[in-house]
Amino acid sequence: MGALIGGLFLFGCRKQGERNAKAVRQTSVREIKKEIQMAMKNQKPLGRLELVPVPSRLGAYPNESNRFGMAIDLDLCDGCGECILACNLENNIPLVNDYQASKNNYMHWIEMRGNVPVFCSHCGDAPCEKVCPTVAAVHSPEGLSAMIYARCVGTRFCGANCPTKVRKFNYTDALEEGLQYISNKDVPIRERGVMEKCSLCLHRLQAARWEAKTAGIPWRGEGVKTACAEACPKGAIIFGNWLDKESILYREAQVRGVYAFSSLALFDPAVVYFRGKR
Amino acid sequence: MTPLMNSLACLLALLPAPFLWTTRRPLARQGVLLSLILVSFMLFVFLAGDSNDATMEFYPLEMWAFCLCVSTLTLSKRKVFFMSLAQGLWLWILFFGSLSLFYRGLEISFLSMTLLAVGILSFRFLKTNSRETSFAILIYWVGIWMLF
Amino acid sequence: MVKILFAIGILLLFPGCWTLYHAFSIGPASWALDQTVFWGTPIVNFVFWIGLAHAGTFLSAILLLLGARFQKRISFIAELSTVSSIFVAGLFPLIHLGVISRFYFLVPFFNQRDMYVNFASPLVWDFLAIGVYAFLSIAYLIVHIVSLKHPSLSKTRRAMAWVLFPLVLWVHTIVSLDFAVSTVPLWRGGFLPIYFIAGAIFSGLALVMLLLESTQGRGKKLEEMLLAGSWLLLAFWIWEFLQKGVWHPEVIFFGFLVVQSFWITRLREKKIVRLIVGVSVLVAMWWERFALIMHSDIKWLWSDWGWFALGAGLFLFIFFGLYLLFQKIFPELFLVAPQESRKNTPQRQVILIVVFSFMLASFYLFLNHQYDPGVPWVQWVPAFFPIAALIAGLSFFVLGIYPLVPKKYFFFFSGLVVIFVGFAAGAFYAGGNTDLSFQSSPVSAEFISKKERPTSYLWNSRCVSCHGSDGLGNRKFIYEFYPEPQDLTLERLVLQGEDSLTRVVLEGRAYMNPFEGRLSEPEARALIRYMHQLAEDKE
Repeated sequence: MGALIGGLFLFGCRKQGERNAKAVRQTSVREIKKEIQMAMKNQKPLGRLELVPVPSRLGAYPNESNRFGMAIDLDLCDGCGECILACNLENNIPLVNDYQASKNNYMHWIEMRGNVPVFCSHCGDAPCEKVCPTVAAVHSPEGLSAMIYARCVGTRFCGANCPTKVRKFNYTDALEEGLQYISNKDVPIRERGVMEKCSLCLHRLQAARWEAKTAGIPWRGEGVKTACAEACPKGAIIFGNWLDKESILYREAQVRGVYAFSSLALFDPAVVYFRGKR
Repeated sequence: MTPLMNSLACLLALLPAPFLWTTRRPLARQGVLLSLILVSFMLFVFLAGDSNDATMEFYPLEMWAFCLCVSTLTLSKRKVFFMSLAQGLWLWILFFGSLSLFYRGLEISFLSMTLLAVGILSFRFLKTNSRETSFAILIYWVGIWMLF
Repeated sequence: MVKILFAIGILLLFPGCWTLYHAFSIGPASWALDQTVFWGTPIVNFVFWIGLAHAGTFLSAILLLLGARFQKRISFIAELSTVSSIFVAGLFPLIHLGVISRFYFLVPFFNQRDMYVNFASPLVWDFLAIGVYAFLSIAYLIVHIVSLKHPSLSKTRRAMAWVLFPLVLWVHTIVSLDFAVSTVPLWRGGFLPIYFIAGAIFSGLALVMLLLESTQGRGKKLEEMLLAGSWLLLAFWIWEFLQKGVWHPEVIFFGFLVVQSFWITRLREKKIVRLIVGVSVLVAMWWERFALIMHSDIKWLWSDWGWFALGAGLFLFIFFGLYLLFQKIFPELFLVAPQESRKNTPQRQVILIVVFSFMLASFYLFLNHQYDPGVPWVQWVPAFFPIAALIAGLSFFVLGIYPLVPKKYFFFFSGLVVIFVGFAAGAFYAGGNTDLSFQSSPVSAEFISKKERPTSYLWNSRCVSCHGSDGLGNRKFIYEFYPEPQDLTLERLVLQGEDSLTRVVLEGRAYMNPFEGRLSEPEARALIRYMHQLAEDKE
């Protein structure tokens, strides 16, 4: 009964825009760094990796000429955590309150597991997308597993069904509790109750794509780098187009051992790990 | 599962079928009997089945439904009704079992399901009391089991 | 006894409603969850209560069709318990949502407001199936009550029982698919559908037995069925152990060993033993769902306990409230069993309704399918049957009720229903406001406005989306939005002249947007010249 009344009461009464204006805090990099340190102290173990084929064209989009992805060079990566900071600042990832922190529930899209950065693998045959009831988790033709925050109702089925558990749920109302900062105007603020995860810096890709289209040149994703790839001091994170034979990502993949999580191997991940020689 | 084990499973499922409803037992004992038969099928599949084959997850249930199907041939009252129910159970197990495996990338084989559906819809028009039709129906089910 | 239980229900509702309020204001953070366990105690309670609901239908509808004689005495209690527990069950998934105010996004309502749903997701099937089940259960209960006065209605009751029989099994199968289709190792299992059905009916039998003990007396057949069910469940627990290597000693103790005391007649005669066994089965089945869904150690918060109070309190409140109410207004309900006739609805009518409902359901799904061609047809099947069942059940209900009610009232009530449905549909159509404060322009202004950029940049960024890169229209745009832009042929451009075309660009015309402020006049002129060039290139 309560739910019925509550449901009717809440029905169509969302005024998200008005609330957004207040209580946004100034970016404090020190605070974010402190949270990242705390998260990195309490790492989960890295799951089992196994050799996978080089990501290729998606079956659902046979005419598409791009599939964006990423590779993390495990021979170079030393788990410094710079990528997490860059990602948090780029994507306006909120801080969490003390209670969530005590449960190790951070919102960081990139998390360290066994000193290896782990985030959404943008699977071509993503299990999260199949079970989303409202089509909030969708695949773009360019190979990104995207989230439409305005569609998300928060059933959390996607999170439960993700084998690597990299999806993050907004348990706290960061705006209300003053945990939200806005360091990048191009990325929307997520409200309480929706899922989020690595977007592969969709906004950067989109902006570059529009510019390429405006200039009338074919769009292959040249010149775009995700925030984490930009920030990595060792250059261990390589962003690129799997279908572009000229890209560094593709050429590297031909000579390196390409690994992904065993639990994901069946789902055609677009974010992989490089280790050793082929 | 190899064809040999498949036919062995068929035999095992046929074995208790004629004796299920011959004597009138209290409900609880009948339940215990059916459950024990199911457990024995489960143990058989656990030992003889291929653990990498995902269809093994509902294989013992399929055996059980098959066994129930065959056992309805011995009924005297409301035979067609229970025959449809038992086939419905088999179809249910097959369809929803393979639907859940479909999300893991396994193909669904529709042929046996179609044949079962045909059975449910058409057996009411047969004279199920005669020995010959009973035998033909038995052959039909064994055929579904063995071939698909 | 009934009044005491009703009072207990009201008392339990206080902490229950407080938990509910807490959950509404804090959201999912108010109960035990983290970033790896996303489904918590509300979902456990949901599966538990929906399971309890099924036994009511099983005892009343299915046994009616199987021709079991003892269902007459308990069918009313069973149906009442179904209606009450389905209400409790429906509450929990709603609480569980992250953004509760968006719950209506799950309704498959074609493509209104671009809110089409993903028919491959078991949650959509869930939403449909449980809604239909709740609706038809209430209708079935009404038919039961009315058939006391009008025995001719027992025909309708039989027909509706035929609809409910597969529907109830379908509902719990779908609940099991929430888990069976996932990649979580512990949730896997092609055997889950049958396992869940068995578990649901087993736990529900225990509930109906307890309710019967507290109102009317003993149900000997129920005890037998409980014994049989405990062995069937044991088989499934063994299979789960063989498949996944997990087993829960508590579940086997409470759910199997305790029930075995029914074999000893002397123990079974004691009421206290029967009550203990019933409660123990409920505990075991709750525990079983809990172990399945929350396969991880997270510290419970007080809200997790509050759900017990809410579930039990709401159930006792609704069940015994309705019980007391019916005792007042329909005392004969507890004295006479509804008359059972072997008479069936005429076969032609049945076939007509079945065909009609299947066609209407197919049409409904076809309309939804227009917007989502990516989902294979197999995944539409689970959603198909509940819709067909709703239409068929409703048709039987209306056809049965129609001759009994005075025409005036009938039209009055159906008018009310139509208005209500229309209102709901309108509300869905309108929906809430989704105001995204975030909006960014696709191409930065600096990028285009730099002096040395050619006019083609302007054309590509401002005009191509409608007019196409060659000036002959963007086909995709024309397919999706009907206004068809003019073909910019050389003849047309020359005829209109540069000055008037520049004015059109800046001020707009018909469907053409005004670009004043976004383009300067020299830019607009340059664009017109660019159009000339494009048209000349084509000639």
